[in-house]
Amino acid sequence: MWTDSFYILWSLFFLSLSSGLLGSFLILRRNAMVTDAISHAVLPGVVLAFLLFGGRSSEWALLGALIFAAFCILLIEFFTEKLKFKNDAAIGMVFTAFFALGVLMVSVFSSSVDLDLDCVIYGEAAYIPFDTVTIFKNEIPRAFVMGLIILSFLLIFLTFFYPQLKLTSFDPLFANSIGLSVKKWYYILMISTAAIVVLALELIGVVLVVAFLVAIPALAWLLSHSFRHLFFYCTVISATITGGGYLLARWSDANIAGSIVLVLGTLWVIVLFLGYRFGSNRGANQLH
Amino acid sequence: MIELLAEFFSFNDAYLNYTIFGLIFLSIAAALIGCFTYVRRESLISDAASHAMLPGIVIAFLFSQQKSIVFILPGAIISSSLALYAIDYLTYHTKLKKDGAIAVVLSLFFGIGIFLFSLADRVTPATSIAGLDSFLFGNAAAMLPEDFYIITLTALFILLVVILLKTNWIAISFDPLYCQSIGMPYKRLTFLLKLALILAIVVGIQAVGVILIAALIISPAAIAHFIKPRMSFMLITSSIIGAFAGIGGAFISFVSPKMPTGPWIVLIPIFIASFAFLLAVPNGYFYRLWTANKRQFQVVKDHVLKAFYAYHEKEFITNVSRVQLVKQTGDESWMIKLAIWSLKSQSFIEKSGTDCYQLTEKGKTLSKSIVRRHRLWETYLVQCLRIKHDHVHDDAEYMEHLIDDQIENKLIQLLNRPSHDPHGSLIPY
Repeated sequence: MWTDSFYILWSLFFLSLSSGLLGSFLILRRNAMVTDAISHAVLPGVVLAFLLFGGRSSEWALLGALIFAAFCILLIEFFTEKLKFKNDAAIGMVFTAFFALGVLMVSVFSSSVDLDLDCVIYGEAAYIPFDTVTIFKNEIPRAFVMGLIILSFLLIFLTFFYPQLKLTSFDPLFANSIGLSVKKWYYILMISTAAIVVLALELIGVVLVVAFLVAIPALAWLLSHSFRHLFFYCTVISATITGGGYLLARWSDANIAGSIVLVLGTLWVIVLFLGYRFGSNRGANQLH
Repeated sequence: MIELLAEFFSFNDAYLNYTIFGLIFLSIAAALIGCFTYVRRESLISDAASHAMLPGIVIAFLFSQQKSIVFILPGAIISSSLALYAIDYLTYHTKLKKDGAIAVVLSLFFGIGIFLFSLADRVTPATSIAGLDSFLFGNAAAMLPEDFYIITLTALFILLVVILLKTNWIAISFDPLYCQSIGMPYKRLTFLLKLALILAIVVGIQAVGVILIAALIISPAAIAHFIKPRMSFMLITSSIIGAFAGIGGAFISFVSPKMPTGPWIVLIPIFIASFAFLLAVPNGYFYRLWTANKRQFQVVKDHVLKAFYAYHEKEFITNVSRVQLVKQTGDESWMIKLAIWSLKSQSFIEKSGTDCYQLTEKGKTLSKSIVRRHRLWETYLVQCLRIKHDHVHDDAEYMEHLIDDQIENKLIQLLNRPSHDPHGSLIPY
């Protein structure tokens, strides 16, 4: 029992921390709703992978998700730039269509796909310990391993490409003028988002991953004045909400992902209230 | 399949009729409001408004212990209004931008909804919770007469408001500052628009589900705007698209009542959209392709006519085969094929054997005039502009398609009706 809790907590923490770190850049680039779109749009890719290759082979699911995420981004761009749709309407149209397609596939092939709609919407973090892989003769939950891999990839990636990411996020015009492709980094960020969504799909569901990818870094952003602070607050918030949310879920016997988001929502209310009361938000608006 | 369709469109089943017309009215109401949210760039707010209804629905359910729309409606409206207020608050009072605010509010409200949902799952008996699932993806088959009446009332209300306030809403959507400066009740109008948006969403959540209903608001309006960006046109077209989506959704729920209806209703406008992208005038793919290549096609047609003249002049051949035409003009074979087809349908040329063609009287006049314009222009360049005669052909090749009757007459006047061009060829009159 103790090890179960350990694995669940750490898997969720890996997921929320990597979402928070990646989401920081997405918030700064005002790509929050594109993130929402991606999180919905990967569904048909994942279902297709499950249909074609059976079982829960994460590699194929990942590949399917990446392909559909790329497809979704390109389609949104095509709608906005070639067909002159308003950007928000293009996003709304594309991702609802993709998601609808995914939901249909799940409900039509429900007998042959090991993925039900409930799982897509809420995820079941409580099942983390039951789905294991064997590494060095130890049975380790797959979500834990995947979370660790994604987080370490992200950390390595951030260490090496931090300047590029920072520059293209803060000053795209300058970045372009010195020959740094803003668009390329946008694609890279979006594809990484898709990878996180695949992991999140089983743990917390596709809608709530938006809370991880946007609401965590947005809250950290309200509190911080620099990227270092931002990352620090992301870590603190991730740890608080996974811990608090898990306790709440155990106590009330509710869905783990929902509980985590409830704790996150409470944090938001507290921060907004304190900001309103003591003006820390207004302080955060000033340049330092 | 045919029997199913016949049964569906016979409108004999009263309950089925509730579903059909309920969905049609719902989609039309959503599409009408969608036109205004589209031009206000607020499409994604409708997404947040619909996701944010989940906590309200579950709380209303927990208190009333039944899935009646009478209880669910107020709960959903309150939580959705709270969400819209929260989005405004975050946009104006923090450094978050609008899209960030929308995403934060959407995901937090939905998450809290999921929490309550799973709680409800544990505290109430499984039989009563079963229907709550349909609020996620919709189940139109479960529509009751009371649902139908509420949808119809809402749709009528929205239609009335749109007719009465169309001008005002257009004004506040396109030029909010001007509206405020001339003393329009800006805040009240915006409030009414948001209220109408929430109403259009809330009556449809049972049929389409909270996750996908935003598409009913977004897609029809966006497609209509693509076809023609005029508000009156958009309102009518998007309603038609919405009505199709409604009928389609009703049919699906009739054929397989267990299937979630939401995804189908979302995908039908997308099918319509793909046709619109191809066929719309003037924005569609085919029309754009046509306008881009129209001039090019005209040039090929002129070349074909000129080729007939050339064969007649040099080798006294009147029956020309397609292969010879391709050789003479140097254009691609399929273009020539198309040009021949077009010229034949305009009766400039006629068939005179297997794959052989000859000019009609009308065609002879036209081909002569093209050659005449070509040679007149060459003469003009040499005589008046003093350009060497071996440099003038390419320019004339280009100008022959552009010279009209008036310029031609002026040229003839100016050059005193020359009989030969600089290369010594006869100018045909």
